[in-house]
Amino acid sequence: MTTGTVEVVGVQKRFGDTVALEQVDFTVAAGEFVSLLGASGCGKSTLLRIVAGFESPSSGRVMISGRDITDWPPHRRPTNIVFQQGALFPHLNVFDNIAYSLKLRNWSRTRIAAKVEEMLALVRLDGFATRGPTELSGGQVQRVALARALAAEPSVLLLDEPLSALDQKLRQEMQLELRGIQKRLGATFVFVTHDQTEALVMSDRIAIMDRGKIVQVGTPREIYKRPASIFASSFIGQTNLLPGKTTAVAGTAVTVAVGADDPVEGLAAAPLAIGAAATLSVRPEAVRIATGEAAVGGVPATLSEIVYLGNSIRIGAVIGDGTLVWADLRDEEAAGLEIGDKVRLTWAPDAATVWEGAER
Amino acid sequence: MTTPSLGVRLDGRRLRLGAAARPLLPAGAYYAVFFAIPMASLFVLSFWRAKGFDLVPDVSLVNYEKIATSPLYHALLVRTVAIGLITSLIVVPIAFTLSYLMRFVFERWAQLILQLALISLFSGYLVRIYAWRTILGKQGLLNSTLEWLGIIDQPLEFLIYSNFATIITLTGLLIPLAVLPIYSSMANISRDHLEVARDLGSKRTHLVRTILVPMALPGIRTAFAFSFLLAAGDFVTPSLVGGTQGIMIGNVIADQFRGIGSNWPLGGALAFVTMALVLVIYFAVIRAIRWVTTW
Amino acid sequence: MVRANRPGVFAIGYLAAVLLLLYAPVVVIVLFSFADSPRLSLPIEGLTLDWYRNAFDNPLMGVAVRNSLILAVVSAVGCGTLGAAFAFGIVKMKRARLRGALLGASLLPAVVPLLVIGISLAVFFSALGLHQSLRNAAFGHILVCLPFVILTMNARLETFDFSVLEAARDLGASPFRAFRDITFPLIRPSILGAGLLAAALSLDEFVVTWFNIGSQQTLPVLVWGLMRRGIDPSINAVASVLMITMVALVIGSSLYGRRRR
Repeated sequence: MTTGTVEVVGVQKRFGDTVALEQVDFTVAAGEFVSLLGASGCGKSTLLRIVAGFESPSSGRVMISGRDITDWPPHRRPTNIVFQQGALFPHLNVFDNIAYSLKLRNWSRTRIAAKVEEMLALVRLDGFATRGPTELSGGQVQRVALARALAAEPSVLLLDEPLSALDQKLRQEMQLELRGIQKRLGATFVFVTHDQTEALVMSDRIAIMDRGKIVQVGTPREIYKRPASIFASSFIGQTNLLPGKTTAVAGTAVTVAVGADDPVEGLAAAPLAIGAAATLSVRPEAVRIATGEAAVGGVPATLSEIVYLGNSIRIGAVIGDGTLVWADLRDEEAAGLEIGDKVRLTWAPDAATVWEGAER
Repeated sequence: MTTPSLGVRLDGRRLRLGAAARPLLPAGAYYAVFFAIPMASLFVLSFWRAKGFDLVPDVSLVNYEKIATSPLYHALLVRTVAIGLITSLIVVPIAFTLSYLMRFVFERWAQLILQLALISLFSGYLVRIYAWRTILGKQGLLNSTLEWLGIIDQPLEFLIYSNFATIITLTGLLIPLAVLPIYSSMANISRDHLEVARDLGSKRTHLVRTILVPMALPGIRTAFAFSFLLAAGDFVTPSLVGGTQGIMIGNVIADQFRGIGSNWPLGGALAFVTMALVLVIYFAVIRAIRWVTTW
Repeated sequence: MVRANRPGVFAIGYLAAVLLLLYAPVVVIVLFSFADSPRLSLPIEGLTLDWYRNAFDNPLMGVAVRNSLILAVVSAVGCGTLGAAFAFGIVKMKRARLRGALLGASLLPAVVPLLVIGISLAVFFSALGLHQSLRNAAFGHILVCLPFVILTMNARLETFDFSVLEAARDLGASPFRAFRDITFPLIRPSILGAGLLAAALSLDEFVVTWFNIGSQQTLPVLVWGLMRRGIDPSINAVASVLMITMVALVIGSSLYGRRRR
């Protein structure tokens, strides 16, 4: 069965002289939850709108369930979209909003009522059928928008930052709920977001976009552990980026001189030459702090910040070249540390990724 | 059916622009037929000649020559432009001050005041002109009240059938039209702008000249265009309150079309000469405002 | 100084003076339409409805009212449809420059003196061999009301959320169905409001009418005729009725557009 697959082949989009998408290739398998993640203006919404049919690509093709639908108008496409602000029809109540696509298909009244009932139950809004859109909270509006889109039984559901207008707590609830609904229906969801946590929590796979290009596609775990670029590593989660120079290369294991020419080890993202300018990325939770005379190896540093985060303590330390490196420690690990302490920063070699060149 | 396209770009884009422009077509066509073509016909007609009751197609400058060489028309044009200019130079500052007060002093009442201004605009064009005749007349409201109060013994003659009457009447008619654009362009000047300028040591007059006027300039320009063009082009006001000495070019133009001894080509030529003159002065004044307010 | 929020004496006085300038004529007209004596001066000695009776005894009155109403309806319908479509078209445009230019162009007839519009239409119709008539005046009314209708429709449509239209298309509606089911019901109040505005403008329109209607009457043409003849208090009565109708239409128009926000 190929129903529900999405293939975007060589899609380009220009608006006048500005290039919104350059050469995007991208596939989604049936039943997959894929997030398009990127900062605003990276082209993620444009890509979604091209799949939905609201924009047509300047070149390239879009296939859904194996059929080329590039030239189809939005109302013929087997996709449905949930908009950022819901876009509920303000003059129709919840029932009529959800029933809209079914009425267009001339379903019988009883069949429509049953489907709407089912959808309302799915989004846990039983009993809301006669409410008007203005009588709903932000979360409820998005649930109705979801129910309205799902009622049309799309092969692919597109979601354009549907949770971004909600407050933090509600958003987290809705993330899990959306994920649950997607799993239950086994439907294909393409979800656009700028919120990396959201993408990590919900997705089977994440596509990171930057300046009109997809820069990495992978599972949340792959992307977090092995970001493919400096950009991806800094966009997903927090990371320390240390500029330096390679001093030894043995396969993927490289030694980089950072700080005041202090050698540390990491894994190369791509083959590197000795003596090349490089950037080493290491996540704060991978950084350990060694104190006392006995400590050897790692990078010498001076503690400059101690920030209490509740479940952990974030320590800032300045290394030889003035770069500030963050380390997240558990409460007991941080005991006794004072600002001004001379320490050494260490990490497991496979926790650090090394790229050629400087940060962007 | 093919849709006319406004696009000049490459094929794909052009089609889409055509589709987007479709709702514009009915009104666009209406403007073309009932605005552009009539204006063009009037322009063409202004080069024709009138022979008795007949119009003779021609490409002659005879009407324009008549206007250029007649001291009567010169005097009329000068008076028309002067009255238009004086009126707009009264209307725009009044509207500017009112907009300022609405924006920064009567903030809470601004919408109500705006509505009141709008409603007065719809209380009747002819009626409001006529009402001023009642107010300013020799035995009108103002004179009779002043006499009754013992301030004057004799009615003030200059109040009615004078340029004064024309100007005050036009002022009352045009203020609402000038307030709308000026107020809306002042909406994006915040209190902070003024505060910052004062903080930097700006005096009050300086503030008006360097902050308020330049920032509200788009609105001022529209207001000035409205008030100057409409005042200079009005013929109803001078004919009702301006008296025999107060006729403006509009009256002469109107007479060429609905009067005894009408001459359409001459009327058309007068209309275009007036509009051209008004436009030139309009741009000169705008340039002057800009020159005074920026440095 | 700038933060001084309480209106001062100057501010209040100024506001009062401007409102007086705007509303003195209105008050005078209504007041004297009920005044006993034909001499228009204070103090008013007694009140009467005679001027209203006089005004409506005028044999031309019936025709004038009928023609004015026809023109008002024609303007409302004509401007409502043309203006709504135009405003909708430009609001949807993405390029702000083009949008601004088109809006500006659509306002041109409001800046050209009515006198010039009136005579140019007279020339145009006579070139086509169409004799001056109510029909000619009606075309003129639509033209002079259209800019104001476009301006108000544009202001109201600027807050229109076009994603509901996309949602309808997305859910399977053809462009026509999306317009019928979603767009039209949503912008209907704005169109009605703009239509009422056009009706009010049309009731007031004199100049273009006068050059194009020939020997026919409308209320403003009738009033003009009476005014030319001298001071006649029944003018005040006709004017008051006209004024109240127009003000009611304008207030109705602004209430209509504001509903369902």
